[in-house]
Amino acid sequence: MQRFILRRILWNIPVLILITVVTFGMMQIVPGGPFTAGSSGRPIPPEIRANMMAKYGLDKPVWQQYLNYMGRLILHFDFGPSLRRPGRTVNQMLFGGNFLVDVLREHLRDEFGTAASSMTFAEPPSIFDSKALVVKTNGEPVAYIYITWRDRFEAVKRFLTLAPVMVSAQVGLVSVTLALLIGIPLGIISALKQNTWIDYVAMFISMLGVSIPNFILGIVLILVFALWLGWLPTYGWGESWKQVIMPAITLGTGGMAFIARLTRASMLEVIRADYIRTARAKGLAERVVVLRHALKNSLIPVTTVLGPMMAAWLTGSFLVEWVFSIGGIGKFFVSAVTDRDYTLIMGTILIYSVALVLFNLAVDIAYGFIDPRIRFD
Amino acid sequence: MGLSASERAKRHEEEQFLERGVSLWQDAWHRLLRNRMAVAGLIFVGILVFCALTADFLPPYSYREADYENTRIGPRWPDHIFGTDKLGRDVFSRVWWGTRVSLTVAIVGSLTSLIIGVTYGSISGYIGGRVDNLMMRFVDVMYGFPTLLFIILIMVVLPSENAIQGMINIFIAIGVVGWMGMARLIRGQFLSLREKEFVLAAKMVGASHARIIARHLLPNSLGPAIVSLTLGIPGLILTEATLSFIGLGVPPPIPSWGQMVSEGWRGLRATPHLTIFPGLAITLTMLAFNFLGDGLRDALDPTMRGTALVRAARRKRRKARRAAARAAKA
Repeated sequence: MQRFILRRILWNIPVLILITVVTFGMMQIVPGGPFTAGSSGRPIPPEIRANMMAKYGLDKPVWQQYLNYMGRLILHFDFGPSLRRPGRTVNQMLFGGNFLVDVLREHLRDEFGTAASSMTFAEPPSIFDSKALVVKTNGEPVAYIYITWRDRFEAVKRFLTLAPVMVSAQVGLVSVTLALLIGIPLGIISALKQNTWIDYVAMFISMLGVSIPNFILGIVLILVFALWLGWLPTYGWGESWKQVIMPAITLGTGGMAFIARLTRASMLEVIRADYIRTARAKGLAERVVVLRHALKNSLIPVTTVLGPMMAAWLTGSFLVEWVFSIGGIGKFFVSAVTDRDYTLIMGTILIYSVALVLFNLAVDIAYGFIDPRIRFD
Repeated sequence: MGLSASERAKRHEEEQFLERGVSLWQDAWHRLLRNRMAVAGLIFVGILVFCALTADFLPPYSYREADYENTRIGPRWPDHIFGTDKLGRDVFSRVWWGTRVSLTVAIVGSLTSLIIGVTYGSISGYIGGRVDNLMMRFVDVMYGFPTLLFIILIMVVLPSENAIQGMINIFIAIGVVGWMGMARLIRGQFLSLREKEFVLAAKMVGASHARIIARHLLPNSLGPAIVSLTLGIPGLILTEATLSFIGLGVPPPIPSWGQMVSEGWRGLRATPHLTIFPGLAITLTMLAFNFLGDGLRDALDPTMRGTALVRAARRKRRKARRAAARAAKA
């Protein structure tokens, strides 16, 4: 088991590296660059463009750019500066930047008042440091600020609630939970009541759920529950539980319907197996037969699809985020490419592929728990 | 046996019917027709095809014809039954025209993924071994990309001279992302089929590799491929609608449902009809293809093969027996 996990992790490293290489290559083929047009859409003069390319190291040979990028990424977890949004880094856009800086700045403001605005840190503080050196903008040291456990806790809390990548993960997690909690029981019930009206209704609903595009579902929900009935807010995330409902339903319905159909199909297959007949024959209660014997085995296909599904949902569904104006990372999947923001493209692709790799690994491990017969060679 | 001559003749006819054997396709067709939802889906797809073919002359208005006197009006009988948009263009006619975009993406996308997937999967599955391993690892890597991001990248790479060319490029890009599933399917089929006796027999009589692939392996993989293709169509239509919704799809004067939804939903409160009708069109189309694909899968499932006609024949026989019993009682 451990050897299997280790081997899977090691195998994923070349896959991830290959993905970065292919992405880097694709970006070279794509016509146009980040600096072919300014923010107003007017073309940028060639001299200025050359300077900008030099500033970001884009004038170097491709392999050198690639090695520089990977070096910074692996050594410092630095995704580089955004090429289209001056002064912003990809780390800020995806991870919300360094939340510890915000926490410590608040302390500085308490201590020094307005003078705090002219102060900065000698180097970016991290939660692993015990103290940070505060300097004035001209470099003159002012004081050490000690980082307490409360500061670290506060920074982590802010990261978990406010960072765009975490906002996306929250939306995805709620939706996955919803999809599983409704989808699996729905699938079980319609399998047990096969060819009755319950089965037909459940399967029609899930077919509808698979067929309705989530942006249309979102818009219809907004129309009915926000505009006509006025029960729920049309946008936002993280301020009220009411904001959770519509995005979760919008994102969750497709998966819920898919899981219900999958559960039903595999349940129908399992329920005819010999060991189920045996279980019934020894007089076990129907509930025990279904929940302990049949369900466990019928969950294997569901587990398989869960990996890619969670990777896609937790890294942000830009449609749901767009329709409900949620500040996650989903929007970058589109805007990064249309803007040719190379570093942001790399950042989003990497986050997605790492999530995919991790969740697929989790699925493989989960197999072992669900069905011990699945051996890891 | 106590059967009359005519009954015996009838029984004989049925037996012959059962023995004559029906081709897989005939049988699948019969099974498909017995599935009500699949038939409904098939009929709806037929209507879509009709709409797409007649979109140039049958709708009451052209898709770009603006009626400036009647802008943003709700559904109104009989001139604008789905209402009009901000330029006074008739929503009904535009939805009608939109079938063209959706069906074209279904055809072009399917063909693209079919061509790439079948070629790739055949090579991988037929050669097998290390080559197969390497080729499948590449598929794994391709799965590692977020689909939409990849489509946008491909779209930007493909050159386009005009709007139509651009539109076709989008469809090809959508298809390019979908080939991996097809490749895996064909490869799996080939891996199991190439060990079968009939392939061995073909090799014995000296058939070339090309002949074995084209005459023996591919036709036997066709059923699952068709099912997978049909079940893939809703995904293609959805991707096109999504791209058009975010403004990266079909360019504006051409009406695509996704783009109509995106134009309409900013004014959702005042003019919900601009969103609802194209949204309904997308949903119904996806529903129809899903039901059709589902029905096809059930119909083409080889393990169920032959059962539909056998069952039909048995039922007929049972009915006849019951009628005979009733007649005897009377």
